[in-house]
Amino acid sequence: MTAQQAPEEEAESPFSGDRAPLPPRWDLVTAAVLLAFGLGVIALAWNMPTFVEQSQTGLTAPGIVPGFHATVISLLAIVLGLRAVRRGALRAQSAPASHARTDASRLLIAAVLGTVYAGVLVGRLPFWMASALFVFAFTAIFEWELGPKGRPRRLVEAALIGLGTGLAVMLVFERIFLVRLP
Amino acid sequence: MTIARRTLLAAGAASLAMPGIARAQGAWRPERPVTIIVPWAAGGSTDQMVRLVAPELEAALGQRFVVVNQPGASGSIGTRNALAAEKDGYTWAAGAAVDVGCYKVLGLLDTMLADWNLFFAVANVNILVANPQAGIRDFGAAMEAFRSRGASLAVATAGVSSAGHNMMSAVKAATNINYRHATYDGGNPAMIATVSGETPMGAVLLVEAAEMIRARRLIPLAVQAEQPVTLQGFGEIPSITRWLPNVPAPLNYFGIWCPKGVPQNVVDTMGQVWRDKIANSQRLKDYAAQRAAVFAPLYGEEAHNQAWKMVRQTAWLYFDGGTAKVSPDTLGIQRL
Amino acid sequence: MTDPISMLGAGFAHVLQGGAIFHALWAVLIGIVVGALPGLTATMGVALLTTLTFSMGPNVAMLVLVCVYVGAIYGGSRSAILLNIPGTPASAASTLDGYPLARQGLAGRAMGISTLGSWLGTLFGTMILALFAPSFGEFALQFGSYEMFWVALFGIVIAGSLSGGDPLKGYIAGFLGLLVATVGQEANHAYPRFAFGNTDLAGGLGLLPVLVGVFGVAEVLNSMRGPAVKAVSSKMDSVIPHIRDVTQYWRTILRSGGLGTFIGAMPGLGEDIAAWTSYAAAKRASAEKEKFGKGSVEGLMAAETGESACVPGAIIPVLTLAVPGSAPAAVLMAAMMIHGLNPGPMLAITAPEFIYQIVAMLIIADMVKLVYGLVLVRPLLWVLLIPRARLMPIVFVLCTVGAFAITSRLFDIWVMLGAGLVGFILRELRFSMAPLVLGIVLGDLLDKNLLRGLTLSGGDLTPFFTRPISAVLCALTIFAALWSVPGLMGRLLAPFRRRPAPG
Repeated sequence: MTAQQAPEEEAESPFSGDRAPLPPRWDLVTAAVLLAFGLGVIALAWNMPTFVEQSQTGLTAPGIVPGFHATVISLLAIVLGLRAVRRGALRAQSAPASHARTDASRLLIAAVLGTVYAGVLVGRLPFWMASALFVFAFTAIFEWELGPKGRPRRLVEAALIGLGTGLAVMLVFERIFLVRLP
Repeated sequence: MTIARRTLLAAGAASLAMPGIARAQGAWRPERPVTIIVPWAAGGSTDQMVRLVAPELEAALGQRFVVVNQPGASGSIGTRNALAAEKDGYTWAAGAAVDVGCYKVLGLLDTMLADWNLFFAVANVNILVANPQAGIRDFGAAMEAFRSRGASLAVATAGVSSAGHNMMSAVKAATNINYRHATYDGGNPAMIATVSGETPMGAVLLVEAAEMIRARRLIPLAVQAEQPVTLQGFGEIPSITRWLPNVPAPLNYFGIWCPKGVPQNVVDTMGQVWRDKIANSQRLKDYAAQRAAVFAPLYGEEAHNQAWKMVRQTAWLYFDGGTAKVSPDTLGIQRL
Repeated sequence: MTDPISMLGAGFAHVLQGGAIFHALWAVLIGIVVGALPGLTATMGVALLTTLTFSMGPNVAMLVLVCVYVGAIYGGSRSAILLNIPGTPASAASTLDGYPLARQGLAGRAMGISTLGSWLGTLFGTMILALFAPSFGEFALQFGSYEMFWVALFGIVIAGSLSGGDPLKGYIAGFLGLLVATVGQEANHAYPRFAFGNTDLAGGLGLLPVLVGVFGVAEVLNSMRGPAVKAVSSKMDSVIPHIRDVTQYWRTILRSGGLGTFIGAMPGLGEDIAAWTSYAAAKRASAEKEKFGKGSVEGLMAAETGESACVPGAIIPVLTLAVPGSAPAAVLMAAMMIHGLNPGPMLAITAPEFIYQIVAMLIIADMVKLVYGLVLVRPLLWVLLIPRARLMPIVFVLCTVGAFAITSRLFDIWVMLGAGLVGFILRELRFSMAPLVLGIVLGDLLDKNLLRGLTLSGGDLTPFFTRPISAVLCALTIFAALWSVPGLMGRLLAPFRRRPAPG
């Protein structure tokens, strides 16, 4: 079994599930997490009040529908796990491709920046300032790797783009569409 | 900078500031757009009322009034946001006064009717309607059907603690009948379920059923009001008190409000606008007449006293129905 | 009585007086902009303009609102195609094939297809509105709780077929979506499910913040992968639509137009479901199934035609029953009432000319939309040439504003962020987003109608099978399920039948 990423194609859609298949072990871990999740939700749904007195039937108990969904998820997770085992999830795995590691760090940076911006800064700073800072930081960090040549110029551009975005968003949404900004 | 010049500047600043202070104590002139939070979906009866009121306020105060829909959790989310906003008069909430009065009883939100400056525009009445094929001609026949078939007879409403559900709870409390409660996503879907015959009867706001009654596709059985109500293009709809004299029938007031604690001049100015502009608004009057609502431009103490009746009745209905989280007694809400 | 043709002529004459074209021009443009910005939905656009047009006459106000509605549903696909972020929930299905086309350097062609599909869709729906409004409206009444349950279940069975390579993961994603939809107060007892005492959670997770999260945020993360600072596409092609796209796929267009209009006329469904259903139906019927999800012209055409045909469809029950067929139509109806035009069953008696005026407004809006589609789209393509390190943070800011805009709550931003991170991880694990979103869209419908049906029947299951329309829908659902089972079964059984070859 090979576990190598297929080279990224120009036309690849992020929605097609048919990129190179994941190593079966990942599927097994996914299945375990989903099963735990499903069982947890079943427990929560089971403990919901049933309102038998108000409805006389108990058919409108709030737990029925989420309980059903969670049961199906649990069952499908078991099937996924079995499939992964049959496909060799318990055997030794080849090491992940090396370029995946730089990808992971880039993804992590993007995720952290986004979380800090939307989860922390927005709501504390004025919206235009938070947005300007975020756009500047994002652009500056990801263009850093282009090398020292032209870096000052790129940084200035990034700052201008950040400020421009913050102010333009404020103008368009608050003045024209009368939307409140955080 | 010389001292003389500095004094001059200070004096100038003071004289510039003077009218500002005078203005703050006098009429309220909003300097930026004012938000009205509608805690229900766009297009519903609260939303329609607010979108009629907002332009009148804009014309009177010379500032934009922006309507924001924040639906969810029986309207308590949007109302909570209005309560939490800065008390500067720039954030208002809208809806039915009875909801605001009962949030604390239901355990949804820690607020009472007395915490708000109330400004009402219209009052709606609840109505019980029947599908023409259901064989129910009037309210008496409906009561007969409830008694004989009881729990298998479905009534469509807009959901728990909706106006229609409250009407059915009042009927149930007065007569001990049983019925099957079918909940829909709103008054319109509940009304349509009755038109299509999915449920033989529906309890909704008259506003929502008016068109179908005019088209003779729904039979109006009784309105929950002290007096019969006349619907344009149909005729008179009898009052529920004809059959059940003991069912209380307070009016369900709809309007906008801001939490107490906003500057007094905001409340005074709004009161003035209400007296001079809203009370004379032809569009609101026409809207109310067409939709069979009661035009009720009340504000201040009077608004509170009128709405308080319905709060007292409804809070105890919740308590008796087992949905209340706290006894209305402990909150100073007496039985009507 | 007067015949339809002269009534329509009178309708046009009435609508077109007094600078109507000018109003239509700016209103459609506002609609397109509102639609293209993620987070500003058609519903919000129509609601905003309801207030702004309050002082205008009812005639102009209605024209403006119809134009905004038509424009916004069309505009949503711009960002779906260019950035893989649906501008409105309606265009989520357009990302499936629109974005892959843009990645292949065919963004212009994709927009051309979208313009044509959308134009034909609205035209088709408007024709149905003009010809059959009363009977369509009455038919919609036949769909009660039992029938709506089957409609929702049918959609979920279809979800598996939208999953690309792996139906098993498609179904898991679909049920995760259904589970997400159950968060918050339920309808029967107002019990807050999975709220843990949090009042914001008690209100449920909004469709839009989740959508902006799983498409927008996840896409921003996804596109930062890979070392080079590159743009989405380096090529720009022509935006002029190919007539061949229409002649080749006329069957798909007719089918999607019919489906879209029909779904629009159903109260409780909307443009998003219309687009998904048209897409799934096109995939099922297509001779080139394997192209779907990888840049299929047919798939994009189906989604666009479906969502745009839904607009006139959703107005049908407004006019005949005073029940909106979709959320933007609900606001449109409120606006009609505010302006003293009483829609509903009496309209055909009291003001039959109004129906034809609405038809005229829809056609004007549709024509203006076509003009913009041909003229305005080209500058949008420049977006594709912006390096992603500069474009993506701006997109992220717009997503944040969009999540916040609808209800002005910080909570919605956190929902967007959470949905984005979870969505991204699921995407990495090869779970398709299409069934997940479909599950969220349909979950509410399934939940409420199942429980209501059971309440109405007193716990009896038979009405779900014996009512005539229910029976037909049930048969359709079982057929669709069986259709997808051989593929599923083959995959499920394969590992049990033969051991994988070693190493």
